[in-house]
Amino acid sequence: MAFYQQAHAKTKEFHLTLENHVFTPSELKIPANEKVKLIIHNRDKVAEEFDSFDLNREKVLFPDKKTTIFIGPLPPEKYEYFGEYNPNLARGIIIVEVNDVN
Amino acid sequence: MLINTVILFIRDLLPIFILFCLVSTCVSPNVTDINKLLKLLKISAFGVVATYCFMPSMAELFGGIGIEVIQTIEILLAYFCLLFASSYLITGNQLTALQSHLIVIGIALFIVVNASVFVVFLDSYMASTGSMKNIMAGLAIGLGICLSFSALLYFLFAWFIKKELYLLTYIIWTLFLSGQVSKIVSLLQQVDILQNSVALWDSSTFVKDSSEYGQLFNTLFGYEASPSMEFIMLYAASLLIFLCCFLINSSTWFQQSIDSAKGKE
Repeated sequence: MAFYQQAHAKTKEFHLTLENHVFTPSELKIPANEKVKLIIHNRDKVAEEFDSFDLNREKVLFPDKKTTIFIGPLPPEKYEYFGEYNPNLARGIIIVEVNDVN
Repeated sequence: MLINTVILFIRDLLPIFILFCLVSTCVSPNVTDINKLLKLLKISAFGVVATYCFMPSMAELFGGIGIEVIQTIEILLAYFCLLFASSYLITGNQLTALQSHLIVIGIALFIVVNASVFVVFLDSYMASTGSMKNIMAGLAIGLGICLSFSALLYFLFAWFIKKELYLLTYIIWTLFLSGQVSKIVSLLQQVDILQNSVALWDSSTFVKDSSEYGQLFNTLFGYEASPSMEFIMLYAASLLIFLCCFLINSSTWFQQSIDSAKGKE
């Protein structure tokens, strides 16, 4: 497991927060053609499910916990995601850009 | 939220209905025996409740990749249990006691993987709204849709068996299980155990993953609009395993037929 953590130490990290069933920031920019680590903090008192058909990702976000999902490398485009349990409120876009977005 | 309950019910539980249709008509007709059903119900209920209770702790195992690792193991175990027990489709021979047990274990694991996520949704929904009326209505509609669809499939598969279209049912069984086992690729990719390569093609102009057909095809044979190389490799490996099982089982069956014919002479 130490090897697993060491291998991902240099991967760029990006953060999302879920509060009152709303993801912030609603638009997150990440670099193109690069694997990134997305850390989602669910500040709500109930579970939510991060879901994205565009990114092919699906993960339960437990209350008051941080969850990590790896995405990419991706070509420049806009990728939608939503909270499966509250799809009208919990929505956002990940914008993959060529420019460095540190 | 009513619509959402119906959608999630279908997404999470329809695969269980389809699996049960396939098993009860083609793969192991004797599994629908009441004792086996009760045993299956007990194991599954225990598994779902235990998974639901320990899911938050499971998520933190192995540095936050616990659920993916455990679900991968469960899916693989279910896959091999069901694969090993599917010889009836080729040979027509009665399943052994071991194969019957494996079928029960395979279905139970499959139910645990799919149903535990739905229970998390129900709990979340109850905690945030407390509206029992909407949940009951959503569950009733979802159950109705799943039962109607599986009734159609049941009669279709029963008709295939009646017409002795065993090869066709074996192909359907192969595609269904290959689709299910290939889901471990995205599970492992999202926690970076498997590399995420660029999609080999993109058929979303024909059928989008998010569309009704996309989701139905995904449930039936693991359809992905833009599959990665790893997904295709696992899918192809699964098809190859089924082909090998088919060849081994059919040669054994052929040998047994020759031996019994010689015995009669």
